[in-house]
Order: sequence, then C-alpha cells, then structure tokens
Amino acid sequence: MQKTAAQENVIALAVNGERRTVRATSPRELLAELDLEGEFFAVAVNRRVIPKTRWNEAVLRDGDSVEIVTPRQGG
Amino acid sequence: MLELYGQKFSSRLLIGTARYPSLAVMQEAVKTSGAEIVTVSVRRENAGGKDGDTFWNIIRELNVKVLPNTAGCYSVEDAVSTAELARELFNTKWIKLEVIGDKATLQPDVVGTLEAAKILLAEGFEVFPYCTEDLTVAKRLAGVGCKVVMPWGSQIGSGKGIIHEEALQRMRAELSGVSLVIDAGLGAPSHAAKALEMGYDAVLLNTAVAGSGNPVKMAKAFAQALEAGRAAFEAGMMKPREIAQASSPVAGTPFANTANARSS
Repeated sequence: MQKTAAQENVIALAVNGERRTVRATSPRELLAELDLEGEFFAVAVNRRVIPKTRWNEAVLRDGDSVEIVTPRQGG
Repeated sequence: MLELYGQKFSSRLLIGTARYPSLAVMQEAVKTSGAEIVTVSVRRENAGGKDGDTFWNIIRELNVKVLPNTAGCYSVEDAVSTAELARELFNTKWIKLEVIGDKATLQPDVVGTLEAAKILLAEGFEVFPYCTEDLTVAKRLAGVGCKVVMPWGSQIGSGKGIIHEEALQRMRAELSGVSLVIDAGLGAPSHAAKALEMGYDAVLLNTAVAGSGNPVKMAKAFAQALEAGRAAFEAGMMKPREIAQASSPVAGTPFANTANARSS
C-alpha cells in the first residue's frame, strides 16, 4: 500500500510553481533542503511575505504555495 | 535637482539593468550614464540563488538607488504581491508599478494600475506607476497620492520615441505638482532631450542603451542629451513662428536701395 505524504513525515508544497515533496517545516529549512546557497532571497507563503527574521519560526504546511525570489536585471 | 518622493538627484536618468551584453558592460554603462537610480526586477530563483547574488553584488558596488519593478504582472493581485516581495528583498518603499494589459503592446492596464496603486500607497509604498498618455488616468494616479507618474513615450522596447507629444505636453501643463518621467519607448538621445525640453522631470530607459551598438558610449550620449534638454527647458525656448524672421539686422544692409542709382 502506498504511504501518503503525511505518513512519511513529508509535506507537498508548490515551490515557485513546481510541486515538491519536502521534509522542511520552515522557510529556513526549505532553503537548506533545496540547496539554495545565495543570500538574497525573499520568501512568500500563500502570497504572504515571510520576513527573513521569521524564516526559522514560520511553519510550512502541506499544500502551501511558496515563492522564493531573487534580484534580477530589470527595466 | 530632480525630486522623487522627497529625495533629490542631480541626474535625470533612471536606467534599466537588463539586456546588456554582459554584467560588466551593464555596470560600466550605468556608471558612465551618471544615473543615480537603476531599475531591477524580482524573479523566481534558479541556479541555486547564485545568479541573484552575483547580480545584486554588482548593483551594490554601483552605490545607486534601486527602483524595483513589477514587470510581467498582468493582474492587480500579482503586482501587489510582487511589490511586497520587492520591498522585502531590496529594503525599499519604492516600486515601479507595472500592471500590463496586453501582451503584444505591453500596454499598461490603466484600470488595474490605478487599483494597485491605491492598495500599495495604503501599505506605505512610494509608487512610480507606468501609464499611458491618458490625462485622466494620470490625474487619477496623482489624485490617489502618486507623487511620480510615468507615462510611456511609446511601446516598451520600441525605440520610437515620443509619439503622443501633444497629449504629453498637456499632461505636463496639467500636472505641475507631480514629478513626470517618460518611461518606455525612447530610442535615441534626441528623444530624451525632447522629453526634458517639454518640461518632463526625467526619463527611464533601458533598451536604448543596452541594445545599442556600444552601450557605454550610448550611456554617455544620453547623459549629454539630458543635460542639453534640461538646460534648454530652464533657459526657455523660443516660440515657433509661421513665417521667416531674419536673424541679422535689416537696417544697414549694404547696397540696400541702390538698385536704381544709375538711372536717376
């Protein structure tokens, strides 16, 4: 029988529009799990910005939609 | 001095950071342009975040004011969320608000832009809305609290220059208390000079420099054009006349009235 995501202690997220199954429960853990080494990110969960100061304590839940963005060239 | 939301700048150029042949050329072009404000975008991370870091370190070295944009947003909701991410990322209240209404022309959705501007102003942002030459829309944007309004010269990246001159002249006359920036469509330094001759406070451009044969040299050309255009505006230009008026004095012209001397 297939185990569900909850039984595996993992959650399913949409990260930058792609479905991912992760063990992370906070934005900080998610960045580490995704091997994001840069320093300049902003994170929004379900369109709400999570300030960097709250990356450790904010809780990610199954089904959350996460955006991770960086500075880029623009006009 | 250019004044934008209470901050003063000696350069009247806001320059984009995209579409240069390389980051090194971009950096050199921005320096040469004398611009004190650069536009940047917010994008989903890729390449493990290294791209964003490399770019951002170069921008920081330039020591300029950053104006993040909401480019690519087609809805009020996306534009507002992108602005909120930009504020967190760049630690600034400034936002170049773009709510695009049409993919082919990249024409702003002026109704959505006004709606998003209201929301962002209420959230404490200092909004730089990208709009068309429509006077009513510009007045409404100013009316809800935008201290800067940025009408297009022509379509983004088209290089056509100022194609609605009369409407933009009118806008300048009607919105004397607002900083007006021509954003988009400029291609040649003469277009930028024209904008400042018309009394516009500044121009925002990207492709005209980045997409030119020599971006660094073109950056210099725009800086010179802006200086000339502003000086012309401050000096006060002559009014065009319908008929010719001799430049040299008429009185005392040699050989005047001597044609019949022999026969008299």
